[in-house]
Amino acid sequence: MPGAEAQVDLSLIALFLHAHFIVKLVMIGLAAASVWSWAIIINKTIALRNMARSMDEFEDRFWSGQSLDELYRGLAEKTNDGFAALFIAAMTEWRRAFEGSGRGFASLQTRIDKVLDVSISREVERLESKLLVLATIASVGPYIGLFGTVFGIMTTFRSIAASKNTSLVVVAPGIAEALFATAIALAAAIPANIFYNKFVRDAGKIQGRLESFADEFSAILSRQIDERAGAMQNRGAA
Amino acid sequence: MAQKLDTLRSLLDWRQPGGLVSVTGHAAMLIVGLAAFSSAKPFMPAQEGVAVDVISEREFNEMMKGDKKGEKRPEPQARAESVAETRRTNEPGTAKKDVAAEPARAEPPKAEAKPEPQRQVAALPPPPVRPPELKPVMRPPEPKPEEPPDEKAEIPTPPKRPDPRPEPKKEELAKLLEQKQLEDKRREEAKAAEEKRQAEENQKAEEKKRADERAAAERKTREDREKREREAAEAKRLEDAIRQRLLTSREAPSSTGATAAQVSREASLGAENATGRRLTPSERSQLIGHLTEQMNRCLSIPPGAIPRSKPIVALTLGRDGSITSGPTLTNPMNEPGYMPYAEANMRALRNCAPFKIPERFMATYEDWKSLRIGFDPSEMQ
Repeated sequence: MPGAEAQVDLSLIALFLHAHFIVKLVMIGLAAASVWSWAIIINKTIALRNMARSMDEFEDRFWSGQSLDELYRGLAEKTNDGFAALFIAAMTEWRRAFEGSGRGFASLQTRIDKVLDVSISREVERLESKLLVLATIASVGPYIGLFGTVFGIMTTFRSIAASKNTSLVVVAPGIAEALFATAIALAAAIPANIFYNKFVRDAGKIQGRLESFADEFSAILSRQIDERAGAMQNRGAA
Repeated sequence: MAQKLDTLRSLLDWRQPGGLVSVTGHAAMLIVGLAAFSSAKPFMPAQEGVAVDVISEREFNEMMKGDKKGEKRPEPQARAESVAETRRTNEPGTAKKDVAAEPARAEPPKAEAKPEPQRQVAALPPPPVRPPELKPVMRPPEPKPEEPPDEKAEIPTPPKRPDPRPEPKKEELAKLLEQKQLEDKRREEAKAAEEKRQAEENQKAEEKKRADERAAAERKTREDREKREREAAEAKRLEDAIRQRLLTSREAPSSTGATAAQVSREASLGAENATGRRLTPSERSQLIGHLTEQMNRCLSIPPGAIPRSKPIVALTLGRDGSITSGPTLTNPMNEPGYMPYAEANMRALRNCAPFKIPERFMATYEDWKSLRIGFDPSEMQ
C-alpha cells in the first residue's frame, strides 16, 4: 500500500482504495450482498403483504354465500395465489370428475386432498423462495467481513514491520480500512437476519392459514360429493 | 442464461421494485457515507479532573511526616513563598517622581558634618592640594546644585592671592644675587619695604578670609535652619497625608504571604506528632493507670453495695490533661449500687480534672485524646 502515509485521507473511497486486493474483493462482495439482500427484503415484504390482502379478499368472497361455480368462473381466468390458487386447483379437480365419465366419485375426495396439498406446498415454496439467500448473508456475512478485517490487519502489520515504525499514525489507517470490511459485513448481515426471521414467521402464519382453509374446503367438497353420490344412488334405485 | 435474464428483467418489474430500490438506496447511503466520513475529527485532549481525597486527621499527620533525611541548616532563613518585588513606590503625599531634593532628607546630619571641617581646612592648607580633595567629597553630600558652585567660586579666590607672594620673592632673590655687591643698602630698604607691604597684604588677606568665613558660617547656619524648618514642614505634611490616606482608605486588609529576595527551598522537617504513631496497648494501660492513679485521690465511693459490672466512661482530654468533653457513662445499668458507683467515679474524674500527663505521651495525643476508661469495682474491695 504505497502512499498511505503520504497524506492521511480518511474518506470512505480512500479507505477502499488503500486496502489490499483481497480486502477490496471482500468489500465489493459484501456490498453486493447487501444490495441483493435489501432487494429480496423489499420484494418479499411487498409479496407477503399482497398475498395477505388477496387472501383476506378471497375469504370475504368465499363466505359471502356466492355459489362455488360462480366464484370459480370469476377466478378461472386470472393468475391466482393463496386461497384462490387452492380453490381453483380443487375446483378444477372437482369439475373434471363430473365433466368426464361422471363416475369418478369413489376416489375424488383423496384426489382433491392431494391437489390441495400440492398447491399448498407450491404456495409455500413461492413464499419462502430466496429466504435462503437472506439466511446465508445473515450467517456468513460477518465471517466474510472478519476475514477481510483479519487480512487487512495482517497486511498492515506486515507493512509496519517493513517500515520499522510503530507510531499510531502509521498503524491507524491500515486498521481503519481493515475494520471497514467488518462494518460493511455487519451492515449487510444485521438487516438480513432481522428480516429473515420476520419472513419465516410470516410465511409460517400464511401456511397455517392455507392449511386450515384447505381442510375446511375439503370438508365442504366431501359433503358435496356425498350428497351427489347419495342423489345418484337414489336416482339409480328409482 | 434464461434465468439470469429473468432476474435482470425482474429488476425492472414494477411489481418487484426491490432490486431498483435497493441499488438506489445503497447508492444514496454511499453518498451520505462519503459526506459523513470525508474527514475524521481529531481527538480533543481530555481535561483531567482533580481528584479529591477525604482524609482523617491521623492520615494528614502521617502525610506531614516530612523528609526524614532533611537536615537543619545552620543559618535560618526567613521563610518566603515568593520573590519580593523590587518596585519602589514613593510614600503617599510626596511627589510621584523623584525630585533631586528628595534623598537629602535621609542624610542631612552627615551632609552638615562633613563640609564644615573641610571648608575650614580648605582655607588653610596650600592651594594645590585642595581642589582635587574637595571636588569628590563635596559633591555627593550637597544635594542642591546651587551650593557647590558658590563654594567653588569662593575657594579658588584665596589661592590667587597668596600666589604672588612666592613669585616676587624668587625674582627678588635673583635680583639680589645679581646686585648683591652693588646695591646692598637699596636691597635692605627694598626688602624692608617689601616685607612691610607683604605683611600688610597678608593681614588684609587674612582679614578678608576671616570675613568670608564668617559670612559663610552665617549663611550656613541660616541655610541649616531653613532646611530644618522645611523638613519639619514636609514631615508634618507627610504625616497628615498618611493619616488622611489611612482614614479614607476602604481597602480590605490583605496579605500575600511572606516574601523575600529568595524563595526558601528547605524541606519542611515535619511535626513531632506527624508520624501518626498510635499508643501501644501497654502505653495505653500506662496512661489509663496514670489517670486513675491521679483520680483515686479525689475518689470517695458512697457506702452501699458495690456492683458486679464495670462502668465504662467516655471522655475527651486536652493536651494539658484537662477534660474537654464528658465524662459520660456508656453502659448505664439497673444493678443496685451501680449508678452511685459510676457517678462517684465520674465525679472524681471531674474534680481531679487537669491530669498530669507525662511528656512521652504527647506525640500520640491524637490517639488518646478520646478515651474510654473502665472502673473495675472488684479493685475497690
